[in-house]
This record gives sequence, C-alpha cells and structure tokens, in this order.
Amino acid sequence: MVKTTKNTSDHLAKTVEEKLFLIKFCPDTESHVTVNQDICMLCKGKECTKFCPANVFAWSAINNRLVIGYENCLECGLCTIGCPYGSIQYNHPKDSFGRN
Amino acid sequence: MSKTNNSEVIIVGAGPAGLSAAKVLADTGIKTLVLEKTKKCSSKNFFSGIISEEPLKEIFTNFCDHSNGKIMAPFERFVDQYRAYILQEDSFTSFNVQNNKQNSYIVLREQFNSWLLKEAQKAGAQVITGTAAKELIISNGKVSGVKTDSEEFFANVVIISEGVNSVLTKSSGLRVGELRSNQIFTFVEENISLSSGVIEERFNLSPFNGISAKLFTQAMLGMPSIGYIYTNHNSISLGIGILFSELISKGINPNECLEKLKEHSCIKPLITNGTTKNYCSYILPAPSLKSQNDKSLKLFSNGCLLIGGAALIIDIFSWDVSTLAILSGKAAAQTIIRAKELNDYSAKTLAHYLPLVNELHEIPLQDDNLNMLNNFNESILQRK
Ligand SMILES: Cc1cc2nc3c(=O)[nH]c(=O)nc-3n(C[C@H](O)[C@H](O)[C@H](O)COP(=O)(O)OP(=O)(O)OC[C@H]3O[C@@H](n4cnc5c(N)ncnc54)[C@H](O)[C@@H]3O)c2cc1C
Ligand code: SF4
Ligand code: SF4
Repeated sequence: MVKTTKNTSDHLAKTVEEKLFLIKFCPDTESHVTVNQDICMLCKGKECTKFCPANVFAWSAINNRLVIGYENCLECGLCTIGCPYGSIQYNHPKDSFGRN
Repeated sequence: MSKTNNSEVIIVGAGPAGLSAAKVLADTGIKTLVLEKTKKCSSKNFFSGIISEEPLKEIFTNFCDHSNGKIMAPFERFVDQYRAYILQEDSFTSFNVQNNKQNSYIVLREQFNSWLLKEAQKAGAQVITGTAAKELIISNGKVSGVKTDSEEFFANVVIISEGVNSVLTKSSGLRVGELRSNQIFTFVEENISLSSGVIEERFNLSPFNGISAKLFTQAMLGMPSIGYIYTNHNSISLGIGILFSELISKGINPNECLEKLKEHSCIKPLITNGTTKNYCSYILPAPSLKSQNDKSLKLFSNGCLLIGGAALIIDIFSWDVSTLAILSGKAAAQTIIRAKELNDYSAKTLAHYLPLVNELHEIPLQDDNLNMLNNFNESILQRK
C-alpha cells in the first residue's frame, strides 16, 4: 500500500522509537535494570514488553530470554511496579550515566 | 574509598522539595549538603509545570525584585487562565477560569530548578551534582550518612527528597513493599515546539500570558485518565496519566494513549505543524493511596526524614503539584532546626515533623474558582 497523503504535522513524532531518538542518553556499559530470566521464561503475559514507555523490554523467542535495551530507559520506575512476578530489579544508573 | 565528609544535614535529591529544605536550613546557618544524581539539576525531569508564588517566595526571597516587583526566577508565562477541556469521543467542551491575581507561573523545570539550586547555594548550601546516593549509612540504629558509588558522606540528619521513583526509600526500609499498580498513575509527556505567536493565537492569549489546562476524558481507550496542557513561551507541554493497573490489563503502551490524545479533534488543531522536542515518563500516586499507605510508609526514623514525592506528599488533583512538596521541605527544615536546639536527632524529636505534614493536607486553596475546578476534577475522576 502506498501512502499518498502527506501529513501536515509531519514534525510530530509518533512512535516511541521516534521520540527516543530525540533524547540524549549517556549509557553505561552494564544495565541498571536486571531481570530473573528463569521467572521471565515462565511468564505468560510478558507485560513489561507492552507497558514500558520506552520499549526497553523485548522477548526474544529464538534465545528464549528477555532482551533489555536499558540504554533507552526513561528512569520512571514503572517496571518494578508493573512486573507481576517481581522479576525486575531497578537501580539508578551509576553516577552521571543514563538519561541526560 | 571513604574520604570523610561531614555536614549537619544531607539532602538527597535537588527537586523543589529538597531545595526548599536546603534553602531554609542554609538561611539559619546550618551546614547543608545536597546530592543530586543528574548532571544538570533535574535535567531528567525536563517537563514543565505550574509554580505558585506562595509559599515559594517566602523561602526564596529573591523570587521577585522587591523594588520594582519584577519576577527574578526564570518562567515561561503567567498563568492567565485555568482551563478545563472535557473530551468526548469526537467532540469537546471547555471552560475557563480567569486567574486575575497573576500569582502563578508556567515554568520549565530544568531552568527553574537550576535557579532554585543557585539560590540555595547563595544561602550557603553545598551542592554536588552528577552524584547519586546509593545507600544510607546506619550506625547504632541511627542514620548517620549516605554512600555514593565512590564516597561516604556523614551528617546528623539525612533528608530523602528523591521523588516518587524512590529507590533509596525502598532499600532503606522506610517504605515497605512495592506500590501496587492500582495505586499509581503513569504519565507520559511530550514537549512540542511552536512559535509564541502561534501559541497565543491558538489558545487566545496575549503575550506573556499562558494557560494551565486539564483534559478530562472518559474515552481514553476505556481507562481512567487525566491529561494536561501547559503553554510555555514557544512550546507546549502535552501529557496524559493513566491508571497503571488498567494499562497493564489492557496491554496498552502509554505512548498509544498520548498519540490517541494528539489525534483528538480538540487537541489536533492546537499542535498542528509543531515539532516534537522531548518525551518523558513519570509516575504519581493515585488519590486512593494516602489512607492505605499509612502503615507501609514511615516519614521519619532515627536521623532521617522523608519529604516531597518520596514521601508521597503529592496531590494529583491539584493544579500546582509542587506546593505540597515545597511545604514538606520547609516543615522538615523547621523540624531539624528544633532538633538542633535540643541536640537530639532521634526519632523522638524528628516526630515533630508529622503534625506539620498533617497540617499541610488541611491548607485551604486561596482561590474559590480553583476550588470549584478541583471539586469538578475529583468528581470526574471518581466517576471514572
Ligand atoms: C498533572 C501533573 C502536573 C504537575 N504539575 C506540576 C507543576 O505544576 N509544577 C511542578 O513543579 N511539578 C508538577 N508535577 C510533578 C511534580 O514535579 C512532583 O510532584 C514534585 O516535583 C515533587 O517534588 P520532589 O522534589 O519531591 O521530587 P522531584 O521533583 O522528583 O525531584 C527529585 C530529585 O531527586 C533526584 N534524585 C533521585 N534519586 C536520587 C539519588 N538516589 N541520589 C541523588 N539524587 C536523586 C532526582 O534526579 C530529582 O532531581 C506535576 C505532575 C503531574 C502529574
Ligand atoms: S519482567 Fe516480569 S513481566 Fe516481563 S517477562 Fe519477566 S516476569 Fe514477565
Ligand atoms: S524505568 Fe521506566 S523506562 Fe526504564 S525500563 Fe522501567 S518502565 Fe521502562
């Protein structure tokens, strides 16, 4: 399908990815968000892959594990509240790493 | 590792709550150290917000120049109007309440917090940015300082003002257990740049004037939610908060709700041709939380006080969410000044903080018009 109409508000970002692209991050080399992969493997809902406002969590079916794109984390703290099985550990990024 | 650093009070977090406490303490000559995890103060909480003159100008006396009345703190626009938009599926109504007093301001947090920080420094508080407190140091059953990744800092009292995402509060056992998803609203906010002329035309404003708007909708993909718009000088801040438990059970991303809002016939014409500049996410406690949470949250312990968002001293219904945080900072400072006189920083003396906090929840709003809007607020949200 070819899109023919050009949106007049085309500078407005729509997707999470477009929005994250606008933010300056200074990522650490190790993740400040960690999970217990054994729990995640058994988790049916994989809720974290839907509610995270920065889409930090993605399920990799091939590797059978949760992939954590912590570099994009907005540091809101939702994930520890939202995971129904307490699998997520959140710490602040070290000193001046993280979102700028 | 440990260099020794001694002060009388350590404040963790340079938000409005922590900086208010720092200013009051430094003004009385108490040796105060503020630790802030971000490099520029509060740069992670870039969003915009409403600041009321009261009680800020009593604490930050340079808020306005007393000789000519000029506001010295950096702000975007005066709040000229409070506006409520009621959004239905594809129609809307709105009404305004004029703010004749010119007593509140739209501010961008990064600039505004930096100003608060400089004022606290001028009063004598020491501030270290780019440094997160990772752990409380406890000796003989009393909090005696904090650890960062590389150093230890010691003091008679530690004030925790780390905001709602309170890692330290949880790890130190002042808050028992995690908040539940039906106890918080999750907010996403976008900053959209537009020229000041276009903003004034679209919102029907004269130069330097702005609006603080709340968006009431019962149709946000079927979930309880509340949105808002602030007009900055040449951008607008558009945000929405949704009850987190609903979001989880429906499997929806908060950004989808924000996008739905942007497409609404009421909002779309206001942001057309704008450019997205920034995006953030934060959480606020739901109104139901306070009563339920009393048992699981301690506001003080031996050598430690909790203020602002970390203490859940926040009113989601209010049009100015930081006033309570600021007042709790002041209350904590007053408690510490008293503790210093008694030379006793135990929980027994710090307990004087509690009645001061309870008083905060009974402060009447200064403006009847705002009261009316707030009642309206509350009834809409409670009806879902
Ligand atoms: C609809 C809506 C409207 C709002 N309107 C306004 C408004 O008009 N005006 C307004 O000011 N606010 C507004 N807010 C939110 C408001 O910012 C907060 O409720 C208030 O600022 C709480 O202040 P605080 O100082 O306790 O925490 P915060 O402002 O969150 O500050 C906490 C600080 O601590 C730092 N920190 C955290 N952990 C550590 C650590 N371990 N070590 C060192 N530093 C740390 C953080 O980086 C941050 O700078 C609004 C929110 C909503 C949802
Ligand atoms: S983090 Fe929680 S929600 Fe996400 S997959 Fe693991 S158990 Fe499931
Ligand atoms: S803190 Fe927020 S942005 Fe970061 S991973 Fe958790 S939910 Fe996602």
